[in-house]
Amino acid sequence: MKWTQKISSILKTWVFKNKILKFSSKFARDPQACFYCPELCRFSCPVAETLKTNAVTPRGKMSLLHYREKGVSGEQLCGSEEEKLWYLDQCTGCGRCTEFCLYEVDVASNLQRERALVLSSLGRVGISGKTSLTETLERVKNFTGKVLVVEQSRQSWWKENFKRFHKIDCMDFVCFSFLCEEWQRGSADPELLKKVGLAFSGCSELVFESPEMAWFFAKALKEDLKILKPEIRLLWQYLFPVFISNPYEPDTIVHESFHLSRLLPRLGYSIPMYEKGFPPFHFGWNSFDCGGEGFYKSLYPEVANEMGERFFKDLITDGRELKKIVVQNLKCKNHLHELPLLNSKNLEISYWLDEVVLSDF
Amino acid sequence: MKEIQTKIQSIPDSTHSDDLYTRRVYSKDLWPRNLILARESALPEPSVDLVFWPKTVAALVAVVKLSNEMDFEIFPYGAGSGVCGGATPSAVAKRSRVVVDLKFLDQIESVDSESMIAKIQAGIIGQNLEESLNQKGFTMGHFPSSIYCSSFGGYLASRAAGQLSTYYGKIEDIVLGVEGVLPTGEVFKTPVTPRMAVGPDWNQVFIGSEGTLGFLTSAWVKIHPLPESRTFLSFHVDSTKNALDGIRHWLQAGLRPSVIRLYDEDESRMLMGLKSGVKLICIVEGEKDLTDFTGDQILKFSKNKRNWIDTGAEPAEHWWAHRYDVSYRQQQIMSHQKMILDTFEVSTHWQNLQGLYEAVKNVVTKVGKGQMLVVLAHFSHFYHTGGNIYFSICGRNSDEKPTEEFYDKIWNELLLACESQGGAISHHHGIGRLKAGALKRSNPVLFDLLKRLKHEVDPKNILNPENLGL
Repeated sequence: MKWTQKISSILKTWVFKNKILKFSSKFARDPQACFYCPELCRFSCPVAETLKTNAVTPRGKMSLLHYREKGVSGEQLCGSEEEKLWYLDQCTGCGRCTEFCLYEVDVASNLQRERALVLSSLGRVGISGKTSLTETLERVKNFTGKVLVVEQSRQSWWKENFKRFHKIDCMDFVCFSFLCEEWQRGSADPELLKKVGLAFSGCSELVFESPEMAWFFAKALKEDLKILKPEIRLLWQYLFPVFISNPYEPDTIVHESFHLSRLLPRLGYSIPMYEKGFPPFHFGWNSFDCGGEGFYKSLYPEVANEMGERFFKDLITDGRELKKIVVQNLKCKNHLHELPLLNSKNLEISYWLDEVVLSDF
Repeated sequence: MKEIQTKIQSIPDSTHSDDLYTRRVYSKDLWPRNLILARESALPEPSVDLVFWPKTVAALVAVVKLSNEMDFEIFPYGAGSGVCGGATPSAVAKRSRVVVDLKFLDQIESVDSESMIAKIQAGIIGQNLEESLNQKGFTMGHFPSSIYCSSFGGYLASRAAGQLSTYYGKIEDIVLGVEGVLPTGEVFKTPVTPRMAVGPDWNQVFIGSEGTLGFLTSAWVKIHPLPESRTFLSFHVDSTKNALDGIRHWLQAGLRPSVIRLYDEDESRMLMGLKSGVKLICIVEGEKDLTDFTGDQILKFSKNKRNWIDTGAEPAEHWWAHRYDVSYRQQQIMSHQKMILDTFEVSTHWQNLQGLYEAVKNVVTKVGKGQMLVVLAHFSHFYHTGGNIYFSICGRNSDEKPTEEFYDKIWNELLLACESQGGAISHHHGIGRLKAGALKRSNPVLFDLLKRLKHEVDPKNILNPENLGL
């Protein structure tokens, strides 16, 4: 039996591997890759999973970028730039599309940049200067060593407890909860971002209570704007051994709400607990993060709440009898508290720092 | 359309959109011809007027009844991952068109762990379905390479097959019964029993009907415990023919590995770097003793063959880890102007396999001067009586004519080559609009019967008209 062989040319093989199996333009790689992708990340998007429309899946949104690169305006494609913004805004900034992409396309950053572009074209970039931000930046300018950056709403807790964290060796702490959401949506004023980066640049190291804020500093100020100098650490890194040795009840679930900080290793940061596989890192909808606690909530609160409830239903359909959820993001705690379904279940929602037995640290 | 929209708006438990971009997105699925047109043509107008999302079966029934009353066309939509244009209405429309997206019907309704039956709604994405079953300790055993981007309803509609189908079966083996809505709005349910002799099997009428005979809203499926054991094997064989002889021997001896994948000489060389011969990978899974037995039998067989070399577990483990990754090549290739890329999955009996393989591979000789065409092949689903061949077709149009014409020409040649050998023109992707002409051509009598059936169940031809050529 003779089997035909039609492709024997070495040249054809070379052309196939070195020309055809490459993107036609390296600059257009990301939107182009998504446009032609069968969309393997679809189920990782909490908004697409909630709204159920193909127009807002990661591919649906990235296609808007591809068309823009091809010279198609928002008006031609969607009817208006405003309409186009609606589609781009159907993103929580959770970054799971980037995390899940088998080909390392940074979908989340592409969408963030496109939102910034559209918002800028619509004249909606910039927030009114907040006095408290100016005051904070003035204070920060005087710091020189290792500084702990904590959540604004826990200021009094930190005043009381900062000394108990002496092993981390921070000279002082500062409350900072500004600009992160505006940057994620794409509406932050670049000049203001630069001011923040410069103000913190006297510090040698920054340790963040909020992983989301850590990501904002690492990505927006250090990676993109290249304006920030200090090293970035997570408080969670220091307290991880204490956290996992805590005796949790079986009906407690640790809610992985690291947000975009899960992507810190992509920027070259060593985050040991990400490698240890605790808490369980699933990809996709069944991961422990609904994504509805950030800027998306202020734009579309009803959908954000639906996302939260879907996340919770997923947890309980796993056959668990939950009594307590431990979250690692204060905004997440607040979001879960607002969900009628969770309130009806009489669940305790606890913040991770309150769970850590600090005397052991 | 305004009047239709007003009526649709009043249907409880539903949402809808007539936004321009949403309509653009729902005017196509993953048929490569659409991607070619999007790449090389001016921005087309959307071919649908409205997208409708029912959240309950009652809402679906309401829109179907409304379509009969107001005479508009309706198009079932799952995840839109079909590659034959089954969910792609043509550009020209005489009536208004509404896409009905079933993704809100996404629940696992019940799991009977004694009978090992689950009832699953059509809109759930494959990966979410499998992951949810896994959390309960079960698997459905259906793993198409599109599992991340396809829906359960799509598997039913297209008569799909998963990568582990040699062990778990294809979708028609997995499904025990279906529930749905006829084009005239009646809800139906086929009987759910292990086996029956009560006239023709209704499941087989609806499975594979590609959204032309009714909406399938849920189905009862067989489930299995998660596999206790998984064994990875791989071999280097001197030729496709000798490897196929071996596989035939296993299947006819009653062995049922979950995965058998044989890459032909071209694919082994171009994509796997082999200098000669072919790559064969094999995975066995299930209950441990049975897995061990099957693995031992396969190894024993290979040791007795001079032209078989055992290359260990690693190649099969590597395939397993990357089993859903292949589609990335599509993105790279399709990003180039004038390029086409598609897949053609056919099947036939062992005796005809060589002729079918050669006929389709020989299509490369039919392209014009300066045009480039590469046809690679692997064999990935096997049976007691035969197997499937999965051709990957990659070409470049050097003509002045539009690339879609080159694409159509290549497809015409591929289908004729398959028909000339008596092969099935689709093993698991379905017919859609792509192969509708060939379906009619290959069996006019039965096609006519199908057309009459369609007319009986859908007298106004409102449900996915033109799909399957109906």
